Amino acid sequence: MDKMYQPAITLYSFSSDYITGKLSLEDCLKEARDMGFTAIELVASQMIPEYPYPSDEWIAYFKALVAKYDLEPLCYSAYIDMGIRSDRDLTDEEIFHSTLNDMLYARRLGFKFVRTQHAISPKVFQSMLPYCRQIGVKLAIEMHAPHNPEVPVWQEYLAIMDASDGQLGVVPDFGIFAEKPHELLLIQAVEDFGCRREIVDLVVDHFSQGLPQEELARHQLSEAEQKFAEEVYKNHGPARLDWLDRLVPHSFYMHGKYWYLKDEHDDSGVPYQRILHRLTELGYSGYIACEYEGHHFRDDIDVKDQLQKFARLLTS
Amino acid sequence: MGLQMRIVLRDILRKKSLKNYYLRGQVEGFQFEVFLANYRGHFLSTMEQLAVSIDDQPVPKKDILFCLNGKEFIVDDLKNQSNEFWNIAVPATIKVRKPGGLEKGTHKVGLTLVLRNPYLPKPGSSEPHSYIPINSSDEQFLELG
Repeated sequence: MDKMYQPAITLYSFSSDYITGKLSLEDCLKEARDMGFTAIELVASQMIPEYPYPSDEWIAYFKALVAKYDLEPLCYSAYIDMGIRSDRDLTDEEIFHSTLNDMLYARRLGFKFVRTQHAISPKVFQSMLPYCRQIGVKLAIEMHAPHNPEVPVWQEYLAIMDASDGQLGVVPDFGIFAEKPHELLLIQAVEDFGCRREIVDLVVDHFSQGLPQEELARHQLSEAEQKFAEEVYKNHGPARLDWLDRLVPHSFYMHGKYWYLKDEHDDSGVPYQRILHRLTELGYSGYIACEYEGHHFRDDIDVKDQLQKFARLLTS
Repeated sequence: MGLQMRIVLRDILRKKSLKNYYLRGQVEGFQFEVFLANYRGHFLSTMEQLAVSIDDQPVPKKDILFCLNGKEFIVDDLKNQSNEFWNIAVPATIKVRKPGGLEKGTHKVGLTLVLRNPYLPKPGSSEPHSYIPINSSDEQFLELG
């Protein structure tokens, strides 16, 4: 069976080098293209200087850059910043307006999609439908762990997508399929939180064998080790690849989330080979966006090497 | 210290940024530059704590100005700035009013800067308007040349 999905990248993957000033926006785009990615996601509040109202000059600058490197502007990523105001959470009306604003600027910048978050609420999400058609930008909600298609609010969202004629959709984040903790989480537990490496390995081993968490008690875990064990048990489990059957028809693109890859065959906690195989079976022909997030854990990892490994994982 | 977010991808207190500033030829105080410890920008109204100490002496709140986007804000007015965006790639300048300024040499600069992460409610919290903090505090010895 032929693979039909295509390799994109979220510029968020370059966070550490962009923020330290090592790479400019143009450098990020050039590297993305050189690695074989053909489309990009932009986290608007990360790279647009005058967010949420990018200037005419910046819009012209951005459009010239994506033309120069022959990249497709895929998604303008937004947040539901519910807590901006000091006195109260945003109202539905304010969330509607900020989402509409993001969609309008996404259109001007040439993006096809806006990615928002599940805090948008089913009511506001539904109300954006006529504006998707009017503006010519589709709106997708990111499905991020610990959410999944069985969470009640997601059943509402999926029903809204079913009736949206392809205008409203989802961006599944592969973190929802995390089966075991990734290597950087283990290193962080040891180096930053003072867990003993042998206990960290024991916890992971215990978990992987399907042994109950309570059985760890006899090993006299420290407070930090107990907390680590709780997180391992709470945040990981056998990947429910059947979720993809429900998600694929509404997926505008997907977030290939990962934290560390030893090589392009490694799954590092997220079972990529099985996910990609299933997507091929389902005939998924959209983009998968490389979303490297190791910078949340370590700043001494060779990011370029990590992105190249992911590009190979997708294309080999 | 509860659950908080701290993403330090570079120095928060910018090296070589400490200097005295002038008001019509007189040294009015000192200033330094600060980057936000996060991966994206935020609106100034999400700032919940801003305090400064110099050589272990706390600076009175009334003497602190937070300067960004060509504007200067007193600490108590930051909570109202929900349309003022702090770009992650741009440092803010913090001015401390102190006529005469600082002596040349090394000074210990302490910054307490805590924001609420406006899209990340505290897990399990049933309270509205309860968000995970972003800790962008720092303490460094900076050289005033």
